[in-house]
Amino acid sequence: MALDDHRRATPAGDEPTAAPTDTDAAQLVGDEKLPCGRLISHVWEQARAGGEPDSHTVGCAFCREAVEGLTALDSAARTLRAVRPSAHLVADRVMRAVRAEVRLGRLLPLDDPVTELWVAETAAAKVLRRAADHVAGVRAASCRLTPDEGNTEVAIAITLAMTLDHPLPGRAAEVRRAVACAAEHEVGLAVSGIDLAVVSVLEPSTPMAAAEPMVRSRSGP
Amino acid sequence: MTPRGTAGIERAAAGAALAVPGVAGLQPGLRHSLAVAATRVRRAAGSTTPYPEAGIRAERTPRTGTWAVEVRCVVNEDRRALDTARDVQERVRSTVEPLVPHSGIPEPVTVVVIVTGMA
Repeated sequence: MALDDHRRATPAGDEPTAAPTDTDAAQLVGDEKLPCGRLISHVWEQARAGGEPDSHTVGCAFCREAVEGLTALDSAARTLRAVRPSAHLVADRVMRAVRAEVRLGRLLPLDDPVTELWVAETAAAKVLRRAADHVAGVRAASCRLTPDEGNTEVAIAITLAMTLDHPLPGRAAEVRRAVACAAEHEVGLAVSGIDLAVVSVLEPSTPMAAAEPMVRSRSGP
Repeated sequence: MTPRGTAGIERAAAGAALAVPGVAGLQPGLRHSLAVAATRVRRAAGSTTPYPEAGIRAERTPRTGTWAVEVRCVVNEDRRALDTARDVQERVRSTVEPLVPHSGIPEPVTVVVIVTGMA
């Protein structure tokens, strides 16, 4: 295997008697003991030998998990040795993966007392922005969701663009109702408050127009 | 049922989660994405579709010995995300608990569900 190309073989079933001199991933963790008391190096040597695992390994979740992890690492090492991608290419891919994770935003608790159910901020915000957009003369510009400390409630802050053909307070109340309804019935969030800020004016006939902050209002759901 | 290793538990959890009405798919976690980023061989477009269990992370807590399973899923918008997440949690828990190695006494399994998208 790739991980142990430079290692000496140790007979299966025996604890290694001397520390290996070469460097590989299995060696780096080899002196660590699993919770079951076995050395990781011993478990790996046994798996590498390819024979039948002993009775302990067959029933031990810790040994099996260690073998699975090292086998995956071995497979990855083999691939890298065969393909030898450039550092730049690997860095690009890693950054793409990290950015995709960051784009999910923070995790928000769904309205569940055990707090084992969560939703990504971007997923919930998309639903709430759309609810605001369904109100005539309104376009949501941004939506931030912040979990309250010590409970499963979430505070919603939305910036909006609106037309001025209707009084703003009435329209803001309409938006608040739509957003609260979507948060409860489409996502399943417990909402502690909805903060609306009208930051832009919409011309009735055009989709967007730049403007300055105008109105800010806040209330419970 | 026969106790399984981590990979077997993740596979079973993935199958259980995908069978829940309202689940559109499972989203790979950062661990899997980074592994793919580091080792992916150049192949034809479309060949890097992740396998379902990439959206599952199962691990045994060394200190307590209990199992924790994390499910990252994209859900359909025609159903409340909370209800789908609850069903996923129940289905995965009831699927995984019999597979977890234990010494005579069934161990509780913690299942955390993360809705990463609504489609």
